[in-house]
Amino acid sequence: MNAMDDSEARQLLGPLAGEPGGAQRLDVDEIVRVGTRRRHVRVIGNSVLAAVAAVALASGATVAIRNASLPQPGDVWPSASAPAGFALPDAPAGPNCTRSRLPGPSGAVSAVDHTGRYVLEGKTGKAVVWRDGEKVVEVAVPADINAQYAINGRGEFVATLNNGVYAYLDGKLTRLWTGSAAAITDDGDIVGLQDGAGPVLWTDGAKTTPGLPADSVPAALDDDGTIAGMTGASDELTVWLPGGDIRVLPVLPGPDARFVAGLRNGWVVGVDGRDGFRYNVTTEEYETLPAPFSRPIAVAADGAVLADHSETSSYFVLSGGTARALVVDTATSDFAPLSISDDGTTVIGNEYVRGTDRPVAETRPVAWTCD
Amino acid sequence: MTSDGRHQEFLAYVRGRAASLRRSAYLLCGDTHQADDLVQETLTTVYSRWRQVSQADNVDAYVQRILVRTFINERRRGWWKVRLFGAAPIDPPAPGAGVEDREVLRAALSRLAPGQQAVLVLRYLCDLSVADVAQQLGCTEGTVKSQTSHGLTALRKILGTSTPHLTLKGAR
Repeated sequence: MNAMDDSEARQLLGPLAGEPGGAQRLDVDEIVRVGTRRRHVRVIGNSVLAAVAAVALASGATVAIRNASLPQPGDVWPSASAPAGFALPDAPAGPNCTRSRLPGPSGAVSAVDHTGRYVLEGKTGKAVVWRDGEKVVEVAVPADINAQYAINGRGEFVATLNNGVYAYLDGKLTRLWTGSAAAITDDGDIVGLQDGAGPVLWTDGAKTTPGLPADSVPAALDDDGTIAGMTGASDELTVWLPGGDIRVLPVLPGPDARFVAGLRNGWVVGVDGRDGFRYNVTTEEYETLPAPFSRPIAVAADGAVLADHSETSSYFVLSGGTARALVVDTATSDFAPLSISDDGTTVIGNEYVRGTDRPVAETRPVAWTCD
Repeated sequence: MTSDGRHQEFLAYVRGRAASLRRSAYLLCGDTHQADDLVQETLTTVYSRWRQVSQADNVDAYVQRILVRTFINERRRGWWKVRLFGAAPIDPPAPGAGVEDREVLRAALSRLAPGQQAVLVLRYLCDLSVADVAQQLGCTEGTVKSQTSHGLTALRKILGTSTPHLTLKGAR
């Protein structure tokens, strides 16, 4: 096959030139509102979250059709069944989750592991891994302002950068493929998308295909190899089990805006249109979250859900039949919790202190404790 | 500058550049409504980093780079199918001949890897040099050249199987 020269390529693609029709739809108020709240350091899934948040906010439907009051401590949340052999904590009613400065990182946290002990601080051209406030390792990575990270319970991480996906495993940084990565397990397995090839899995030091349809988007990976993500033209929420079973989750009324926000120990959380949901792989129980909690952020190994409250600038841990508020100070700062620990007691995220002459004067890593 | 001053500065930038960004977005994705969504998302990112963006030597280039990165990231995740503005009327076909060709070409282009789509559009529809494309994508010129070659080969292969009149010498 002969190579195509530039003039031929221009001629071939020429029919695609043109101007967009109609009036431009631009919601500047929404840009300011969402942009102000958006964290400067992006996390895995951030663009997806933002897109769906914008869907809900732009339509105004979330607030309009929901009139549920904020759950109070002690209110019963829909049944919280746990996987076999895993008991839900008997969460105490009443206390909020207290906030403190996270020791270690000087700036924003980019990723947190499932134990809540390992934290990755992404800086320009380097990734700094912390454990319990102590620096573990500083790894030079190709500079990318849009770097996205995930970190496992051994302090190893995967980075999605402009020029490819890089994994830091066994003390060595390796370029894996061109595309993106969604998650990394404690065994060092990594799932993601390779440009031109679709879903891809890194396991035992080699790249394989996980057997998902080519149009699937893997979003999360559990320790046992379970993958959760979206597939097909309408982004059906799907769970692929290691034994080959496939679970397609219910499709709820509303916009075709679906994504998986978290997967841990058999619990899947995510968003379907205007609803947040939780699914248990073991019991196959599917629940929609109470109305205001339409945007789950992460799920703990015990099934506790970290979720955004859609009507206020606040966040809650839903566990054991109660909703516990994370203490925030919305008068001075915006907050972005990222993760919840396996035992559901530690939430880690960032605080963006507003300035008088700029949107963000200071970024602080913070931890909430839900004892 | 006060936060209100920066806010006004951002609004002025949007007023002046929104239409141009929309044209670039349209060339990238080929759909008016997706282009509007892409610009909305891009400007949201720009606003959240406006202090940094506004201090760049070339603000337009910086914002264009965010636009292209947003396009690639959303394509990789398949999230471009979600419309930020909810249900929107279907794009009426542009007047004139070649509507079918455009649709076939756009469908073929959308089957390429997102990075290859961006490279081909930037090089051959936006008429950017290899160096400028590399700058926008944050990669080397060698990567742009290889992506161009692979993208064109794949595009020719896709088109050649069903629409021989659209390939190479027969392109209109």
